[in-house]
Amino acid sequence: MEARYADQGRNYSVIGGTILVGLCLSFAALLGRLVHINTALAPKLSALVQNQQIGRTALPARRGSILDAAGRLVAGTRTRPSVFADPVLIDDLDETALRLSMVLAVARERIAEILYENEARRFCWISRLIEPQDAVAVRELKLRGIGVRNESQRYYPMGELLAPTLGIVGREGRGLEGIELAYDEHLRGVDGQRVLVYDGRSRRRPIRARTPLSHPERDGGHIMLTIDGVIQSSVEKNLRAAVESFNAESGVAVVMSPKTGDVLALAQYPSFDANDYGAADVETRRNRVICDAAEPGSTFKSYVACGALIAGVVDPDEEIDCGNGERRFGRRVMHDSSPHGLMTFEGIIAKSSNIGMGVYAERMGNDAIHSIVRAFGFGARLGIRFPGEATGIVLPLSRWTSYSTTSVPIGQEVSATPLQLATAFCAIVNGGELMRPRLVKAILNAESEIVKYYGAPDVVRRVMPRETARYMTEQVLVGVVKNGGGRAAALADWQMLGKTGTAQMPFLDRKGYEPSAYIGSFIGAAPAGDPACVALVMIHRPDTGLGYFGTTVAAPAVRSIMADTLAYFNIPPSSRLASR
Amino acid sequence: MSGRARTFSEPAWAIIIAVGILYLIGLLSIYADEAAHQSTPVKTIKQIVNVGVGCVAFVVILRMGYPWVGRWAWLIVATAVIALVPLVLARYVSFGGLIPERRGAHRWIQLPFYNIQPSELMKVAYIVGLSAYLRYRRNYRTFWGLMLPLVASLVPLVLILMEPDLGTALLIMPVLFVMLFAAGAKMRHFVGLGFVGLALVPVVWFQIQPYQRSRILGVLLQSDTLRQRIIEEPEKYKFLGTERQAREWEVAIGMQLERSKAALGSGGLTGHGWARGAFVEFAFLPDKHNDFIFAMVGHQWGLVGCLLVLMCYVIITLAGIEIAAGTTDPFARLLAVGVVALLAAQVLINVGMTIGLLPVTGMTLPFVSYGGSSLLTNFLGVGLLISVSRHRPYLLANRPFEYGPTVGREDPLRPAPVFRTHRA
Repeated sequence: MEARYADQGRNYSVIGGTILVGLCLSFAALLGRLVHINTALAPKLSALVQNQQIGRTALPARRGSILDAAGRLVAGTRTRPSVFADPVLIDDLDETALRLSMVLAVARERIAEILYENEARRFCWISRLIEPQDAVAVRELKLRGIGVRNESQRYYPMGELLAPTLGIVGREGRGLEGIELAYDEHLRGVDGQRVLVYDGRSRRRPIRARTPLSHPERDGGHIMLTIDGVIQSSVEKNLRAAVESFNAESGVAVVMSPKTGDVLALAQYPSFDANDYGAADVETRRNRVICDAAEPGSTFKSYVACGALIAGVVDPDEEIDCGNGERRFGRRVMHDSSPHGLMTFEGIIAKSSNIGMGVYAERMGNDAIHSIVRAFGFGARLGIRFPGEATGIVLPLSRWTSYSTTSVPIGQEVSATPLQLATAFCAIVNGGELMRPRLVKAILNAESEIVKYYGAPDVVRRVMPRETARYMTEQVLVGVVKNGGGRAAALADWQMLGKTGTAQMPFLDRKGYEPSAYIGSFIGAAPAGDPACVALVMIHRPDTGLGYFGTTVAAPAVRSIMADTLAYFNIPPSSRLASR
Repeated sequence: MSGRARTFSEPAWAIIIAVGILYLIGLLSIYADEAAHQSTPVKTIKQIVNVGVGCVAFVVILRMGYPWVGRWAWLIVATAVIALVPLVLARYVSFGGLIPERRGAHRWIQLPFYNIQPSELMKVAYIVGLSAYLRYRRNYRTFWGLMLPLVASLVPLVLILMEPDLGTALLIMPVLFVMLFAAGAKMRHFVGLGFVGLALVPVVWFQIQPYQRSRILGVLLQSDTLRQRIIEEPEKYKFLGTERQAREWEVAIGMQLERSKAALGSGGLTGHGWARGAFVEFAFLPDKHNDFIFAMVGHQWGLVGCLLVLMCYVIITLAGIEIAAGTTDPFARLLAVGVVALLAAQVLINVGMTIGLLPVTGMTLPFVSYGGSSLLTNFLGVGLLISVSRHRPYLLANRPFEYGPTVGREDPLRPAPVFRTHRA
């Protein structure tokens, strides 16, 4: 164009050219800025699109409840108001802090501190999970930039009851320990989200329903435990009484249904309040029934005795000479608590003779002992669904020595959890089948419909023939209570059977046993003939001045627990049954 | 050479094609939103009707020819001014549904079948009037001679300002200056006027309405540093704006700009694609069909789409200048320059505000934005431009963009005698 009209005088060139140059410069400016926006500024601007303008609001799912076997609520969710602030919207932070402090149980200085710390942010909590009437008061203040939002709070109506089993839930609504963790996914449900966008007038407006971005929350389902709150409270009461009366360090107890493997109660003392779990340390919170293994001591004889019966090394009429309470086995000298002289198999178990067990053990050999110990489920996880389940220790056969032959049968050189001991005992009294222990009876969905019901027992394996189990239960273990070390556990109405145990506590850092540090335990079942319940109580470090034998410190507790439980189950007394 | 050409010249074709592309891009962008939300495409249908009306006006102008427009210039201006009066009166007297209030302004006359925005029509009328006034004069060569067109321009300016419609009012000034410059006004006079204007800036800054100040502040506060300074030392920067304006910039006075930039920036090189992207899906950006449609073009078709749109305007502008240069009729020349200036100014202001170079004012993007009056005005303008291109220059005529004494003529088509008084 320029060339075409070049001959038409300077004025044209000047005017047309100026206009052209001006326009070109203007368009070039637009172009430059456009490129700037589309390249240098693009990442920041794209992020703006993603984060700021599409507002995602989480719709928290309601965490499901945990119920006991009878449907009593042991862990529930309730909503509580929380006060939050958008400090950017607040004109006078001090004024707001002052006015809030008049209705909230938080000091003015503390509120001001929170507000100043978050001055440039759009959100901060002022006070969480407050009482509903306080929230009403906050709303009535009508403060700009202050809001109230409902939050879910986990609560445990039974407080300390069952706390180490239920576990805890963190602030973010995730199960951190115990059943709350094991079934977290089921209990938690699926959080929904509502996607809100700022429309042109800066109001929030929900987008159309067909966008896949928004979806409703799916509330969590519920869990029904095998544990019964009534039995549990009896166990906790009796355990506490035992620990306190013997001035012991701690105690654990577990009650199981031998026919199904259901855990009816499990407790430890000292415990903690689940509603204030922060006050308890991790050691206290750990479920010691499932997660702590220790040397079991003499209660272990009952399991090895079954092995001796299976191995065919026992003649019930044979009398073993237990001598004067001291006998050498290879390099090792075994002691009994008192000289027993000649005793039959039943007598040896009833009196808990180490020497008698040693005789049978030598006849069995390491191989047979190892296999019966493993068959009862020791040294491996039982497969109860609980975080941190311990295996206990059973050394591999290759590492067993001649020492082991006499150590293992009396409950040394091995460690087991109280749950393993109780589960194995269930296998003896139920006719020889090892049942997988269970904590959960049923899984329910959010509408409280049963999704899965654990009715039939989960049999792991048959440990011994029915006749062996019956002989063991009705003759040998009943004998322990009738005329052996377990007399303190005897019940008036029902025939109790069981086995005592007194274990020395090994040093944690070196070989050998701590002097005068014992675990007194008793494991029992009742009523003999058709046991409905197995109970184990272990008392750690009782005051030796007050007593430390299992029969002294633990058997009475088992007796009380068993009396309560059998009565609760409406089990007819054995005496009346016999008289019929 | 013959007086009237029946066919379109090359620049005319270039303009028609560019306008067609721009209109289609706009229509696609308007339809994208309605298609994405599966709603009845009311706006799309209306925009198709609008282009029909625009085409009718375009054809009428071509049929009648620009000389006819020149003959009735004063009547056209008078009509346009009178049409503005009821809008100004509407501030004080209610006209009911005839002149509804939208966003605190009275800009539309609501007829049963069509809405007219008189200030849009005023743009074209103003160019016609100014061209008619300037064609016989040379007194704009003196500083004081510039004053009359300036003062005369105040009439539509003030009327439009009283609607109020700041965007259209602001358009008058660049069009006036370009036309005066093209007519031959001296550069130093403009420079002088520029200094006067510059000196008035502080006065104007404190005289304009707070909301108008906030528009300008909205652009300035794009700078994070400036926002930070105002937040840190609110007293020192009180003359600019409050601490709160700086703090809440992105949700208040800078919101539309920030969103517009976000729409453009997130589009990247090739965009999210037609009817795709967050800004199509959600109502993030106010006025996304009219004033901020350029951001939606960038969002959907990226930098490539933006460049195509700008390219079309560059073609229209260059072709328009060529048409202006190709005619010897001073009225036609001024008319062409005025239309080019009008279109270019609208594009520069609209795109400028979309990308944060200029304050946000009500300004449509020619041929792309949704709106009947805007489309009609721009089609009228293009009609005039092409009408000019169809009248081939006469041999005996002033050279283009030259000034000299002209003999009073009844008919601008009559050849003007050549008096070379200007010494090159």
